Amino acid sequence: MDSVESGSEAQVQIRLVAKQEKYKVPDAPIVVPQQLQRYGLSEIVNHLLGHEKPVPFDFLVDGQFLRESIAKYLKENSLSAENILTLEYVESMLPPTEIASYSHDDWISSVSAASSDRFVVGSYDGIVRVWNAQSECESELRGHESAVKCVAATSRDPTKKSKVELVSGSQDRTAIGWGTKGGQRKALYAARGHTDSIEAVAVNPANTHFVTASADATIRFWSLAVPKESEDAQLDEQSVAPPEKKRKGASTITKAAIGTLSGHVGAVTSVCFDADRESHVYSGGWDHSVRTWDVAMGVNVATNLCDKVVLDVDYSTHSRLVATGHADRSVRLWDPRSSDNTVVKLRLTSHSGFVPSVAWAPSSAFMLASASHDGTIKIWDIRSRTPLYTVHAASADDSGKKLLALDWHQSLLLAGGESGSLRIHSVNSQYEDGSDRAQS
Amino acid sequence: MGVKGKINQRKRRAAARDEPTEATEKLVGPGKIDIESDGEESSSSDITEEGDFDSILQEMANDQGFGSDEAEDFAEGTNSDEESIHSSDIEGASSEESEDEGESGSSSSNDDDGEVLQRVASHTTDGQDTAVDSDNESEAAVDGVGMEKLTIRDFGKDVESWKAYRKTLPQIDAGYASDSSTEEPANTIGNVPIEWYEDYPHIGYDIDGKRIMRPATSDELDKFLANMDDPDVFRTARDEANQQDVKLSEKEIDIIRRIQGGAVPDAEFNQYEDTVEWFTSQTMQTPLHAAPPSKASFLPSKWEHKRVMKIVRAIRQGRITRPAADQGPKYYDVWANAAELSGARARRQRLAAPRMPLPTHAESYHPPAEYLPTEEERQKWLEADPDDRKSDFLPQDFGTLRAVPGYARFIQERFQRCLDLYLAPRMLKKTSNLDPEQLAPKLPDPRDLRPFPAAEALVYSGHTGRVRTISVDPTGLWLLSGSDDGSVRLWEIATGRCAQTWSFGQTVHKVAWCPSADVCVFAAAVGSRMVVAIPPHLCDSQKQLVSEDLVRAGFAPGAADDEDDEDDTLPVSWDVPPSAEQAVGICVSVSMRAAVKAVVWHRRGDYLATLTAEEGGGSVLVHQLSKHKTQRPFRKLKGAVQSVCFHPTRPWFLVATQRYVRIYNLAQQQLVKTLQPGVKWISSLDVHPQGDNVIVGSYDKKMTWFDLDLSVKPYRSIRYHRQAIRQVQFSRKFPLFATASDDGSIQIYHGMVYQDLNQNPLIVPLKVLRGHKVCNSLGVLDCLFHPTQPWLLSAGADGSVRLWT
Repeated sequence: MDSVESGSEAQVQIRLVAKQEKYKVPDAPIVVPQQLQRYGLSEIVNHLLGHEKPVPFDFLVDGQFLRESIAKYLKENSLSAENILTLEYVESMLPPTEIASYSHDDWISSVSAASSDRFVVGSYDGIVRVWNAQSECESELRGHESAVKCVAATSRDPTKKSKVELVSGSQDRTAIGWGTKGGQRKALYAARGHTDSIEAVAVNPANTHFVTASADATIRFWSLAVPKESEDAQLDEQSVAPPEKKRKGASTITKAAIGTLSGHVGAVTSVCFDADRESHVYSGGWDHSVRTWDVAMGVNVATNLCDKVVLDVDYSTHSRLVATGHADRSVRLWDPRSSDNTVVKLRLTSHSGFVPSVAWAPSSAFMLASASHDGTIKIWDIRSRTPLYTVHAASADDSGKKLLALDWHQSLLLAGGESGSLRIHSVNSQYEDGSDRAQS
Repeated sequence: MGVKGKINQRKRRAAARDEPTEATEKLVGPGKIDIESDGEESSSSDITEEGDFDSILQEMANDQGFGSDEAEDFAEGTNSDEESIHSSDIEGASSEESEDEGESGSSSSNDDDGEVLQRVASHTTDGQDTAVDSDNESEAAVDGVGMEKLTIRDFGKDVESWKAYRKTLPQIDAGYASDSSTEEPANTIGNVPIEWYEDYPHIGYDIDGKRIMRPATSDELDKFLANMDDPDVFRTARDEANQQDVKLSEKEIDIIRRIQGGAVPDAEFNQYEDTVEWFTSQTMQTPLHAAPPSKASFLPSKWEHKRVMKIVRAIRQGRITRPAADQGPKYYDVWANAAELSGARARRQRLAAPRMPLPTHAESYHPPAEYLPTEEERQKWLEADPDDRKSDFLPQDFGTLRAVPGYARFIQERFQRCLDLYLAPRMLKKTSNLDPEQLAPKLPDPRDLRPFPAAEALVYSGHTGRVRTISVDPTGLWLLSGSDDGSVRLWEIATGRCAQTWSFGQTVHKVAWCPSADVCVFAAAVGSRMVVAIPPHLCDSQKQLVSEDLVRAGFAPGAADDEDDEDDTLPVSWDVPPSAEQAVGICVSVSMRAAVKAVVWHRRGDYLATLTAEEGGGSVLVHQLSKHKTQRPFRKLKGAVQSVCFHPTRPWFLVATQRYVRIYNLAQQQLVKTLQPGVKWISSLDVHPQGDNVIVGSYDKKMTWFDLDLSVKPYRSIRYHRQAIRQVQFSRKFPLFATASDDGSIQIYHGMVYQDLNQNPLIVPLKVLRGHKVCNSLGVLDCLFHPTQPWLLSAGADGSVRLWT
């Protein structure tokens, strides 16, 4: 037995299973050498499928990626080589390739893709820029007095067309809704009420409302619609800015918040909508909490605590998990449906700096990307503890410069930060992991 | 009390009689005893009632009658029970009494009898001991006979001679709590198995030494028939010692039933009697017992005194002398103890000679061929100097052991060996087998003391000169840094973005945010000025208004007048800064005579203290921002002030000079305490947020921790840095403190202060943070904990500010 295991020609029976119809192979166990790794197994599958052009595959054992040889896996899990090992295989994701890089004068604080050929970038110089795929800056939107901290493009769904194309939040404590008016993009209204810098903004999938998270420890809930005339900000009991409002009132319409969610005890850094439950919002902040809010009711539904500052939250409708980026260089996954207060489903550690931005893949239940102050984007499959790919900056100047913003739209991965260049990466669009099936 | 006890009493009473005439008992007939007693007698007999007494006497008489048959019945053995003994006693006693009576009438006539009729007052044989009484004396006078007398009973014709000469044993007065009187066995064979008497006609002896004959035994059939007939069979028990059946009385059966039932055997006994509280808190008028205290309890022992006096007298007279001091012999034998030393101890101390190396193949008489030297080697060996040779010998092959000659160098080698052993002293080298881990104090694992800053997270770069000072705003989102390049920068902590820069062109020694959460104001020490600024666009308009109110209120016309009076004495002027500076948010500029080294805010955010490079008391000034007033709290100060600090909870002000830290009470204007860190040059100090502990850093690498409640001497002094300590800081929220040093490192400690005053603070070094480069032998110049997170910010001489998380 020992000699069989230790010998280089030790063999094991495997059964290959695929969820994607087009990659199905005959369901009969085959005997392969134990020394095989991913590449060898991938060759076998390609051979069985009779592919002319090999397609790379990744292999899953027990829901975890096989990252070493089969022999090593068997040894680590103390499994017998005599049993049949079931290997599920999925098409490998190709490494992301950098398509373009749009440079800015100042740091990029936030990015959001309105569609696959229109990208909104918020910058520390207080200007919101809209780029198209032809690397042209369509418009430079000036209106904020201070650095823009967050931008959010409204839903790309044409059926839910809204006048407001994007919303931006700034350190000047206002959020501005921008839209096309008279063939030109301009500020439609300014949402006032926060008493400190607006750190995050999120628009709901139905394109009717948006929420803002601020350093004043509150989250405010606004309607996306353009008001006919300036709403009195005083209606909101917490807002106190009469002289400023008067001054601004001349140029843009002022909008008042529908509701204020207070509960955080420190700056709120991030906020996102739950795409499955319309009125639910997740937020994270400096008080180490990830909170679930019902904006319609205005109540804090659940509070999950960890020990570290939360810098970003994102919700995936496929995996129904919340991913958070933290100041302790890690990405955490939460199950918002879990009743337990402090459940961290998974903690992904590989970054060497703050993780100010995380984004779930729009079409996958397992993939997410994170951008970090260490200047890298990491793409994770949550079935593996190690990142699938680490994307470094292309140019030597940008390497090591902090990344602050990240967005994943279809097959495009947008990232920007200290270097001022908007890096656009293309992610293997054919990649399917059967998450749709998993969801159903 | 049994029958016997009553009789005893009676006898005693008879003995107590002085005169036979006082109480007379007449033996009226063989079956009847009559008693005449006068009043005195009845009063002296305290217990027995008359009627009771009569019945006893009746019983006695019956017994006596029975006892007369005793001798004849011996053969049948029917009369060996307890009662026979009683009867004999009673018999004796009653006969004595009758004699007394007879004697009182005619004593001489009795003497004349052929038998020796002696009158015994109370007892017979025990008269020796007890007849020291007066009544015996009187008897002696009457009889003229000795004390020991024999009694011959005058019982008529059927007197048994053995009975006449029987020694009447004294009745044992069973005292209180003794039950021997009722338990006395009829068969006195003692603790001997009854089987030993199986072969004999008797089963033992009664108290008088007479054989007790075995009672007749019936066969089983008879027994059965008897049992069938006997209605009392169930209550019949077998007494093995006396070989007879005993019928248990109703009372005894009752007792057995009670014992079986687990109850108290005595039916009369009341378990639940009312308590009699003998010993209560109430003082009784009379004591519980009237026994007087014994003499011995308060008199010193006479006998001891006598013995002591005997010794004292002996000492005085010189009969007892102190033994002379032990003077050892003047000369002594050096080797007296040599024998002992040569024992086990000597053997232990002796070091064995090192072992000779064992012979190898080369030294064999018939070595293998490869060990034999070639001719060349042999020549070489022979030519070489003896000291240079590798071995002392050349291997030789003798073939057989017989051929081996005597070893020529034997004596020489032995001698050399002896010389080696003799000339080279051997020593036992003692190595301590001590585990260094044991010496270290038991401290908790740093991993259990999380969170604490452990790794570098961000670098805020932009300054071109060394960064001297940093400060974090009360919300924890913004960081200010002041540098030698003459600029103050405002950073966003989370991203490292420089939001704003103020250029002054002069070294910025200190920046400090106002600790009040209502305002957004900071003070900076720029050259010989202190400027107070409101960073533009940082806070909302409400806060901006409050801040401007606070800062500019002093410029109001009314306030200015008050100020002028004081300005004459103080070298301070509150000025409106130039418009260029006003545009960037600087509101007030306070000019002083010398360079401002430090600015410290009071926790309320109105008062702030500055420290200038000036000498003497003028170096420390306390300013009130809202009124633009300046005070000089100290007329003179000993030594150059290094650092100042407001106490976080009390109205105290800490001033660190080169060697001491003085704590002043600002409200009462007096010195509270002088801390003595025992260092040569203090660099910095900080007060624990709870206010009872102070840490002091010094340029001579030492950090000292003071417990203000404990002592003015350091509770703990720590020297971990290799270079001067520049800054010490407590965390306001976590039990952490840090020291920043010129060696480019920052030490993080766990400094737990317990609410329990009996528990000393726990100090655990946690982490050394390295990252700052050392430039011109300056390392980390300032460090600061984040107000809400377990993060540390540090400023270095390399121009960078770093965040550690």
